[in-house]
Parts: sequence; structure tokens; C-alpha cells
Amino acid sequence: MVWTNAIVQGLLTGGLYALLASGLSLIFGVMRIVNLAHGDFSILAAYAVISVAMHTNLIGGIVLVLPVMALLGYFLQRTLLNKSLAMGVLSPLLITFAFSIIIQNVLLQVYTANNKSILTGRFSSESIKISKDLQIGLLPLVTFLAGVIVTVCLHYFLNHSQLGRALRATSDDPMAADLVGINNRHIYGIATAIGLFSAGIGGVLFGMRTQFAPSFGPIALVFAFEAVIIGGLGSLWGTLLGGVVLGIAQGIGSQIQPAYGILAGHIVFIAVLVLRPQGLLPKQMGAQK
Amino acid sequence: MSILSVSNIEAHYGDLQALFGISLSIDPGQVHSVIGANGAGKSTLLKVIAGNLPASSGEVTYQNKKINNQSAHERVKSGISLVPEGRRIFSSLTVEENLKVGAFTKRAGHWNLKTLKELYPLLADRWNRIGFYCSGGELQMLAIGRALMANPDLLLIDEASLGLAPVVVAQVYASLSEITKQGTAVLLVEQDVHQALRASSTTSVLLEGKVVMEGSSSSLTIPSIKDAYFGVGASNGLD
Repeated sequence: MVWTNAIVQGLLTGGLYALLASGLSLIFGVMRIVNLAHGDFSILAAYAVISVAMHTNLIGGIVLVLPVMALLGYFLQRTLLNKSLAMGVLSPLLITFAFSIIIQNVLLQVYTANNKSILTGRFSSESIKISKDLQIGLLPLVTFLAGVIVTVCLHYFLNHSQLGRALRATSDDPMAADLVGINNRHIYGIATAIGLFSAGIGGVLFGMRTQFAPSFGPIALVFAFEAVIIGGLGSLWGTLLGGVVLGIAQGIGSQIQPAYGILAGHIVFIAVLVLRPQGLLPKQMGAQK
Repeated sequence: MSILSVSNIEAHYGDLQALFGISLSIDPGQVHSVIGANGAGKSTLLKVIAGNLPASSGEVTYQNKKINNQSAHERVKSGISLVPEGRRIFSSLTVEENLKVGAFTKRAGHWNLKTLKELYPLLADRWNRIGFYCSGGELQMLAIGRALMANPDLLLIDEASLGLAPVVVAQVYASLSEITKQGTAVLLVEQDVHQALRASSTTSVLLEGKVVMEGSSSSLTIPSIKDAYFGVGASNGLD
């Protein structure tokens, strides 16, 4: 029963990793930019929610911060990142690395290095009893559902809306997209806006579940990366699956020995990279360049 | 009155000059073909008109407006669509999705999913096939269809017949008259001289980035084109 519990808790945690990873995956898929600051943007959103919630309430903080994250993403893409895209593959990498350093240090300056957490009152401790030994926390369940909902929404957006199709078209061939009237720079802005929006959701839920500090961005990025690679690059459902596999691996690892949780995740990640480098659910057909 | 006129266009790829003062003009509903050997600058000319490559000097005038500074996607909005060399179909999108993306600018006009199914019944049979798996002929029809979805006033087609089976080439060319019937002007770049002359009312022959011959397609004779095509006097030594 302890194993069932470990697997279920891991699965629920996987939803969080999927949330952190889906934006990373989208940004990479459309522009081939590896956003090294993705985790830091998540943590930034978590801090921002704490600050805004002090003046309003938690819901107000979330409702205000997430759209601002999207706007920030669009703005950064249209100003710095689009320019850097023209300068080869290294420039965007350096710029997102710079974002990462800047965000961490600004957060350190404003919020100090002390651990914080987004307080949700009873919500964080409520749970649903499944059986005598198995309880599902309400917050982990909400986190998992958020991961699934974001994946479903993104899937629907990319496959059934004109803007989503334009995003996929630009990912396939930016020059041809230009020739059907798509402004690539705008599309890239949209992709980063969605990316940071979902990073924000992930960061806020992360901040509700555990304590965090300004230095936590990179570790969130590592988990997001692992989820993307385990699931398969460019595949939305793969990213969700990757997050879940990573979460379950960590859950089982922690059950063996509390210190082995994160290690077990890394081992599964490396095993997938060696045995199935295309990931568990790779994007179908050879569209990748 | 012409819908498009280019005058004294020069264009460069880096330090390499590809076009040396090209001029031509097209009327609405007219088919104009541009022929010439490999490297004569045909595709470059289309890229300059579509906005893929900036002209280093000269003017591109479309519907009486100078459009040199417009980007490719802005030109699509004002009604210039290019069917690019190599077709450049979105390979992870289905036939239907490729066509839908073609309508991104929401320009109104005759062409929509339904009229395109009628124009190219083959595409209707391949509706849910992913671009990556389409054959050369399907890709060419899809590329033209995708460009038509923007309901252009000026359609630029680069190498419509390249690499296609003769029966498919015939189908593609048969569709041209349907397209011009809507008032759309077509600028056609073509390797196949006979095909180009048959399909167009006027023709320009390019050699090394210059227009060396132009006129109504019916007035141009094959020997004279041959001279122009390869440089003066070439036909004297050949057949």
C-alpha cells in the first residue's frame, strides 16, 4: 500500500512538472529557443502573487499576475529575443541566461534569501480519503488537474484555432509562414506569452505546495527539462507523460529512502536518454528540421 | 492600367549581384511568364516582388503604390501571394490545415476550402494527409491552393512544373485559366519554355540578371528565344 501511495503522490506531483515544462516545450518547439530562465520566471510569478495577495487576496493575486506574465513574455520576445534570434543560436541562450541571473538577484534584493510560501490556509491541508491508507491531498489534486487542463487547452489551441495553426506553421517553416501573411515576430511573441503564462501557473502551484527561495528557479528548470526530454521533444501529451513519469520516479525513490527521490528522477531521465532518446511519446513523422 | 510594375530592379545576395536593372509590368487577369536558364535571376525576381529579398535599388509598384519597404506578410495582406520554389508546404500540418493557414490574412474573394476542392479534386481526396507524406503533384497543387486561399490579386508561381509528371503539369496549367478568370494576374517563372509560352500572354526572357527579350508570347519564336536564352548566336551552332 505504501507503494501505491508513493505512485499516486508521484503522479500528482507530475502534473506540476508538466505545467513547468509545457511552456518550455512550446517556446523551444516554435522558435528553437531554450529558455534557461523558465524556472526563474515561475518563481518570479510565485513571489509576485505573494506581493499582490498582501494587498488584495490570493485569487486577486493570481488573476492579476498571470496575465502580466503573458504580457512580460510578449514584451521580452518582441524587444530582446526576436533581435537575438537573428544572431544565431548562441545569442538567445545567453539572453535567457542573463534573464535568469537578473531575476534571481532582483528577487534576492526584494524578498531576501529566506524561504517563503504562498499561504492557502486550509486548502493546502485538506485531503480526500480514498481508502484506509490512501489519501489524496486537495492541493496536489488541483495541481495535477491544472497540468491536464493546460495540456488539453494547449492541444485544442494549437490544433483547432487559426492562431494555433499559425504557430505550428511558423514552427515548420518561418519563411513560408511569412509568405502566407503570418508576422513571425508577432507569433513568436504569442508563443513566449503562452510559455510564461503556463510557467506562472506552475510557479504559483509550486509556491503553494512547498517553500521556495529566489535560487529555486534552476532546479524547477531541471525538472521541466527532464519532463520534456522523457516525454519527447515537441509533443504536448509527451510532456504531460514525461512530468508524470518523473513524478512517479521521484515518489518511488523517496519511498525507498527519502534522500533518493530526486536522484531516482535523474536516473529515469538518463535511462530514457540512453534507451529511448526520442522520448516516450515523440512527435510523429519527420517534420523536425 | 498595370497591377504591378517593377522598374530598374537590382538585387544582391551579400556581395553577389543577381539582378541588374529588371523592368516589367503586368495587367490584372493577365499571365506573364519569365523564362531563362538556371541562375538567370528568375526566382530572385519573384522573391523581390514577394518581399522575401529587398531590392537594392529600383522600384516595386503595386496598385499604384510603392511597396519596396513592405515585408512579405504585409504584401500578402495587400494581395500578393508567392508559390515558392520547392513548395515549402508546412510538413506537420494536414492538407486542410495548410489551406486554412493560407487564409490567415482573411482576404475576401472567390477562393475558399470549397472552391479549392473543386479546383483540385485530388486535394479533396487527400484532405487529412499530413504535408510530409504528400507526393510532388499534391504538394504543388497544395502550394498553389494555399496561396489562393489568401485571394491574391497577383499570384507569383515559381517553377510550377519542376519535378512533376506530365499529366500533373497539365492539370496544374489547366487550373491557371480558372485562376485568372477571377481577375487575378499571374507571374509565372518556368523552366519549360513551351509550357510558359502556351500559358502566358506576354513573356520576358532573363539572362544573367537582365531582361534580354520581351514581348507577346505568340510573337516570340523558339530560335530567337534560344539566342536570348543562352546569349547571342547560340542557335547558329546548334541544331
